[in-house]
Amino acid sequence: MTYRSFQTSKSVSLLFLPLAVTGIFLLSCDYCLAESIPQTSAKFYHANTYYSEGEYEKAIKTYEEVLNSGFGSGNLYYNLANSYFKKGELGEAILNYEKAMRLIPRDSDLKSNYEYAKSLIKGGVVEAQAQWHRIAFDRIFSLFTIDELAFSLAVIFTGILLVILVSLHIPPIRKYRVVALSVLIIMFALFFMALFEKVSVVGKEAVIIAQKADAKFEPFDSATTHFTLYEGTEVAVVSPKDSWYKIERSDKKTGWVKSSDLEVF
Amino acid sequence: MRKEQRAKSKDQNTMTHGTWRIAFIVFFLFTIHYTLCSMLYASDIQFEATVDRETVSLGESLQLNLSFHGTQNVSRPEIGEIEGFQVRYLGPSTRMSIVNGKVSKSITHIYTLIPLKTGSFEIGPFSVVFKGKTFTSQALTVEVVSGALPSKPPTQGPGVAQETIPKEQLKDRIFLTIEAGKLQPYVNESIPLSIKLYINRLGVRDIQYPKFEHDGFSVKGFRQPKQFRHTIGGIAYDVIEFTTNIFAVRAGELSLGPAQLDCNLVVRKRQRRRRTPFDDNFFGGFSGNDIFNDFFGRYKAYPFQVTSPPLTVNVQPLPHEGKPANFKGAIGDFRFKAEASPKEVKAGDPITVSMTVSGAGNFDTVSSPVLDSKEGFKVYEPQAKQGQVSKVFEQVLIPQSAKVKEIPKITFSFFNPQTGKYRSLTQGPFSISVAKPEGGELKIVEIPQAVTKTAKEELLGRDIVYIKESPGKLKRTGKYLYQRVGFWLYHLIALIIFITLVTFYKHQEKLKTDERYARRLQAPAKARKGIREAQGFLAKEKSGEFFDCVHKTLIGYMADKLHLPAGGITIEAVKEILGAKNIDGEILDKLTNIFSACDMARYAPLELDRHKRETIFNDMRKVIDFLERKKV
Repeated sequence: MTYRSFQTSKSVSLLFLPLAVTGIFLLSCDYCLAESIPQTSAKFYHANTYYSEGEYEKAIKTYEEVLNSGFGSGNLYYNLANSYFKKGELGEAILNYEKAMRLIPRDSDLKSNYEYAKSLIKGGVVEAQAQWHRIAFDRIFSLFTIDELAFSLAVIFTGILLVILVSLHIPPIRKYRVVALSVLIIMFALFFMALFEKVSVVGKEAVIIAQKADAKFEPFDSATTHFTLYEGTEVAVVSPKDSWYKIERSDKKTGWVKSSDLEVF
Repeated sequence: MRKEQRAKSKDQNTMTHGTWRIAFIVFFLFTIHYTLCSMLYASDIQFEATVDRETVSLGESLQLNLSFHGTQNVSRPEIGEIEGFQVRYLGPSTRMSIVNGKVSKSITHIYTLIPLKTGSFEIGPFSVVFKGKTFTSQALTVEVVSGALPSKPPTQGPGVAQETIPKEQLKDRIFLTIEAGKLQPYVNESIPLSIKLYINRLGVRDIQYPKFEHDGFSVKGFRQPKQFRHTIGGIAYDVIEFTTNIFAVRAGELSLGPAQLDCNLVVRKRQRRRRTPFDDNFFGGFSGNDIFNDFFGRYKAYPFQVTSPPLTVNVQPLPHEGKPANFKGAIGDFRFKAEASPKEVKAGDPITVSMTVSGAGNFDTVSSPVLDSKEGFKVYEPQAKQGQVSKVFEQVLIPQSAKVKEIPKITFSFFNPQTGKYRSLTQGPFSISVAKPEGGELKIVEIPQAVTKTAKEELLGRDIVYIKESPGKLKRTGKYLYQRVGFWLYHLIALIIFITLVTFYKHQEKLKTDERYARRLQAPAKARKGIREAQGFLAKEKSGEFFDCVHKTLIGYMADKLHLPAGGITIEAVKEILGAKNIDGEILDKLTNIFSACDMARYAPLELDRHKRETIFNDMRKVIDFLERKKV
């Protein structure tokens, strides 16, 4: 009797596999499926024609209409950024390149344009020196979007559960269990860290859109200027106060900037 | 000269083997050869006379070579009679070699001289008229002795010595010399050193670089060896010269050498024995020399070490008088040049001073030239690049204020071993203009924490990449995947299912391995089944079956619960265990009643009435319920 019930438990456990696969599939569908509405796409193509005719102002307006209708894509932000760039608004361009980066981080055109735009920032880009492992970590995970990271986490999580379950029922697998689990858990931890870091800066990054913005010691117009920021510079928002933002430059210098001078994304 | 003959015979050999290709190459070479010959001028021609040995015994023969270097068109010179010798003309031997694109050719007319009497004879000088010019060779002296020398058969193989070459003779035919360019150098002065290997009519292979004692000297690696011919006392030698530069690291009487050189001598073996089937070739004796042996007959290479006489070098210390203050040990004959750029800077910006020391000497001893004063500058360590004939120092100076007007003069001092005097060369001062820095006060950051990288220079014609044609994956903005309920729900459900499955698995595993657990777990179910059965019998008024069933159920339940063998259970044993577990007396009494009633009903023909049966049934249920609740 016990033997038979053991067999049942095995088959029940193995049911987990198709279940997990279905679940992951549903998740990926949820994340992949694009709701393409013909009207929205039409507007996009329309804007593209404006761009090709050199009417950047109109192109910007049309692209933003698409965005305002509640839809977005990496390509859309990229085209919008290009239009701003052509119009000469470096700040807005960099802002939109950054937004596109969050959706299509592996796009080479985007990378090239983004780097070019950044190289035009007055006063150069202040870069903090980081440790090699930090650089490696950033470089690897900058290739993933937030959604991809979340999805990978779900897959790895399912993988961990599957490995445990399968190894319970198929004893020969048990000797690989420790290795497989440690690899999966390390991956899980890394992906989790990456996701956490990306999520924690959402809405806390900002690009200076004014030609020149003064970072002051106190949130008043009369306060002493600590340092100057030029259009296109990226900063991290520490905290808001009235119409001021406390920001931090990449070299860890902080100051107060008028909220109209920057745009948070 | 004999080598040529060998090469020639080799040529013929290959020809007889009938390779058309080689024939063509030979033809081609001859064509070039004659074309080149016709282009020659008499002025490039050298004439020399050599003999193959200076001492000859009666009965032996002597070879006289009249060589013309630089042409091949000289016909046999008439040398007439030579006193004390019988002259026989053997024939001409031509030779052409192309080394590094340089063509050298020669013709040698070979004569055999057979001594007729003992004594010392002078041969030559010989004069030859060629293209209207007269060439005269040097005179040679040959001693003829009467059989005192160990007589040996005439050389059989061309250019190869016999196995039995006496050491004495070998000494004249292969030797090593060591020469220094200067025997009284100064400390650290770079002097050339040359080690020459002289070979006369010997087959020498596998010549290695020489080794020599050089205590007190610093030696660089040998350069590519040079090969040439040199005649000493009428004997032509093939010379291999190894050169390098050395310098003494301390003063005093230092000894260089003896130099030693390892090589292999190729010697003809005497073929005394006949080949037998047991010869080593038969038994797989294909050692490294076999091909060589088979091709040229029986030759043997044996290792040989040539040793040179030592050389004494008297190294002198540098003189004290006239030594400049900033002399740092440079020795040689140098020139010095310095340049500074840019000349217009802001304070805090770097100026590079490039100082070039060129000339001949020991560059290892050359250290950076000295700035007269470093006032007003921040000075970094100079970077040195050392070449073959120059050494360049690049020094970075940072003017610290706008008051700095010039870079002070730069002095380089060295000792010239040729003149034996010190010299100081000066460059500058260089006038520069230093502007005030942009950001007011000047700070020179030693090691910047956050390296400020200025953006790269704008590339010419650079622009952004064109827009995307398609909208890509358009989707609702706002919510990320991790912010959706479904994402978290998926994890939750997966986790719940996982925990359930693991628990279920653990339970099954326990049932399989833990019998006591399994029995206890199954006891209530079995008891319930028994109770239902008993109820059935009660309703059907089947007294016997009823009591059997009650007994069996209760005994079975107790056995499972207390993990006892079902067959050996007695009411005493049960009561004892339950008593130890603090079970109410009432329950124990009921249990006793049930068992005794059962026994009575089963073994006595006594019919118990319906009421009694119902009491027993209810008691049984109470006992089981109680024990279940108590979790005994």
